[in-house]
Amino acid sequence: MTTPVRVQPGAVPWVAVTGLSHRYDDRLVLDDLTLRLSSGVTGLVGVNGAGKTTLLHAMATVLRPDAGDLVVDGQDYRRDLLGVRRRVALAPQVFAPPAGMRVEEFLTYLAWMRGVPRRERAAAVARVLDVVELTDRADSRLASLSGGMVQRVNIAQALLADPALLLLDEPMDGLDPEQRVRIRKLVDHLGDTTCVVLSSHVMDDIVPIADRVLMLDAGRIVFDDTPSALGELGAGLVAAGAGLSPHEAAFLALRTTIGAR
Amino acid sequence: MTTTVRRAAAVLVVVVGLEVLVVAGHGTPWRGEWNWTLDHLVGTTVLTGPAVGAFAAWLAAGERSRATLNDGAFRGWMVPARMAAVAALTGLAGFALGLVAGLLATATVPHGGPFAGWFLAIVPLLLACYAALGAIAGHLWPQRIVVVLVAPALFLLGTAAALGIGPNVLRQGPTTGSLAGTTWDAGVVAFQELCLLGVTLAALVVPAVLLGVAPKVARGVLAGALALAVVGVAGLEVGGDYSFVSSGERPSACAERAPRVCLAPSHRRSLGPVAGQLQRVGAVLADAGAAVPATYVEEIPGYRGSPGSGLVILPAHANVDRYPLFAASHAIALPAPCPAWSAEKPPPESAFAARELIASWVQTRLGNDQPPVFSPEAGAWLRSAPAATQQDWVVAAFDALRSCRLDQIRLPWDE
Repeated sequence: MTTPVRVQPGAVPWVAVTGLSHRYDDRLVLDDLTLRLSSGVTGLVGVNGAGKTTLLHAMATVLRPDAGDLVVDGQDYRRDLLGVRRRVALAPQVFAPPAGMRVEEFLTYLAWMRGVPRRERAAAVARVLDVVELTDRADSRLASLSGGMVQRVNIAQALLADPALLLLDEPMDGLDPEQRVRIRKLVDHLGDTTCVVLSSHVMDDIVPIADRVLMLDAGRIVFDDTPSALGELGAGLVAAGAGLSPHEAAFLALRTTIGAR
Repeated sequence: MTTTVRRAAAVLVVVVGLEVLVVAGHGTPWRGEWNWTLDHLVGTTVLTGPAVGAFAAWLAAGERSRATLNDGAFRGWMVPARMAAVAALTGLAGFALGLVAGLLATATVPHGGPFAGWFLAIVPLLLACYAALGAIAGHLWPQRIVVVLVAPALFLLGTAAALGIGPNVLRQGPTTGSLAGTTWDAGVVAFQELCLLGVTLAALVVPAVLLGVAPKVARGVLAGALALAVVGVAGLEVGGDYSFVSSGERPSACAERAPRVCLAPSHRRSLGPVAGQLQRVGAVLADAGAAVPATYVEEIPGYRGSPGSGLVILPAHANVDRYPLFAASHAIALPAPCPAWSAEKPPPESAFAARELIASWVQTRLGNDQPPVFSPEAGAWLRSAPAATQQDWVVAAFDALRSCRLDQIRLPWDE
């Protein structure tokens, strides 16, 4: 029987989530969840309904959990909600920018929303467009962008206020392989300076760039370690699996173990 | 041009169109009264306000499709306020265009009267309130049907006072007829503005309360805003919501003719036609031997004329640049501002009838063979009584009216 493994939290956690619980009606979607996050890319994996989006929304303060605490960069969201919001940014899974707007105009508006001072907005927009390599599309209407470009705009808007915690909810969902690689590179790069949480239900999107993998199942963390540790866990199971990677095998095994409990 | 500016420009066209609709519905021909101009321009908010509210609702509802993005953002709670601001500023831009056009139109015709420019301060508050209510409706219920219903709902809200539900706050004009001699009651307007401010602030702070942003502060602001609105409503309930008081305007715009005619400066545009017609009908009476007063002054709210002068009462719906013979013949038959005309106990019926008969007689002398008459006896008398008899009676009755001996007047067939 495999037991969940935990890594020790960093010496100075940027994000501390403690005792987070949330229900939708009678369904418990986050179950007394505690974790610490530091800089780097943390992959958040789990099947649909595991609680990934709910956890990200709680950390982004979009959702008020039934119980639990969230501290980001020293700011407690219960005491200073706006202080936390200054430090956290979410690139939501459902991103529907106004089709008629131009990229730069939309980002300028979101820079206002994210609290970027007026004088700094133009520079902030130029910077994030550069980061996501869309400078040449600044004047394009959002409707004219490809799916991958729209996802990059989604990530760009989240970067506008230099967040300490960047939450990316399934940013590679629905993208073709070339765009997935581009987004992976971008997220990998962002992880050098920011605490990034990248959620996906596809292991291949997470493993190459994550410094750490959190696996959620039914609102609980069932695995918390490095991608290599996850791979090792699954290595012995590969033979039995039908064409699965070690990580996918481990993922399935962990789910099976939890489900059997 | 940004998307917001493009949208606002489209709505601006609608706003200006609605302004034209309101003013054209009430304001042809242009009166030349400054306060009437202000009243009609502010009165355009009766339609432009709900339109601005619907625009705000549409913008705010559109933002709810990005609720996940907005709700966790630093200024996410301010999004409805920003949408309301865009809508209100669009409405205000339309109002500014209308204001310039209205003031120019007034300046280009004979004009006058008091100019209560301070009353314009209510416009930003009105538009902000309509926009805030629309934005919060679109924010809370971001369905297309809500956006569609916002404009009629806000329009009905504005008419609630007319149906006896609460004091009037949202509906400011346009007033039917002239506003000469009147201006806005600063106390009533202040209470209305307080109410508008309170409702606007309350609506705009609701998202902060719902999103848990600075909960104590947000709830405090909400309570304070509602308190402002309650104070405003209470002030209007206690003191009344009738917005007009006497402006102190006097009939000082005069035409040096015989008789001399003085109207309120607000009615300067009517001075030529009124003086011309009074000169015409006055000459008939003077030729008959009646002692026509040297001066006729207009009766306006707060001013009932001076002893020795006749009274001119301009019909509320009179055309500003045409004064009918019918009106002039009745005006000339009011040669003194007798207190009895407005006393609690009215003068005898014969006094009113005498005025009517004099007016009809003047019209027959000016070629109208069938003037309107108030009784069969009057018609028969005008047709069959000898001319000299008619003239003697008219001179005597006119003298009695001028000296306010109203109870001594006898109609010809009563003698």
